[in-house]
Amino acid sequence: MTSLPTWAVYLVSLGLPVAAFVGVLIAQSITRKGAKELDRRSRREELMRNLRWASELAVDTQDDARADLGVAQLAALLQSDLLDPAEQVFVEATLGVVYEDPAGVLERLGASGGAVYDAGVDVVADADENPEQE
Amino acid sequence: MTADEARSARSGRFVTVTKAQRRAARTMVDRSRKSGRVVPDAVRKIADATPVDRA
Repeated sequence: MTSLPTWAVYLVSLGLPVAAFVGVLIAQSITRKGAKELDRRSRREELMRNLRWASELAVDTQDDARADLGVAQLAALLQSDLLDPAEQVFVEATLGVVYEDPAGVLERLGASGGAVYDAGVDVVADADENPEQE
Repeated sequence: MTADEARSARSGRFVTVTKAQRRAARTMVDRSRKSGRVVPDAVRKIADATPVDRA
């Protein structure tokens, strides 16, 4: 009959359950890390889909409301921490395309040029203008 | 905007931009403030575009 020293008995009887518990913790930690990476990857994929969708909307020259929605989405995406600085360059490039035409005209006009935008309010009559010109 | 400015806009010294173009320029100007990058004057003018009523 084989006999174990007392310390070995304690080691086997207490050490094995502790080792099993630590093993479970490590396995759980690895699984959670994998799940987080998967979640982050799927969020990034969704983000990229949104980026493409917003970019297509932003350069819509036929419908200003859709273009404005796209630009607002792109501006929101720029604030997202899921976009790396390298990817933010693509968003900025799209935004640059949106105002490329008026910016080119303003550069040609120089210091005297200015910009206005349609506030969407109809003015029935302008008191300073001659009505015959209308 | 004043009536004079509105007339200037129609005469061509002012460029009419869309809401989307103004928002895009504003976004870039805001980002340049944070990053310290220089934004062209033209982009700054688009960002500061004044509203004009439809006449």
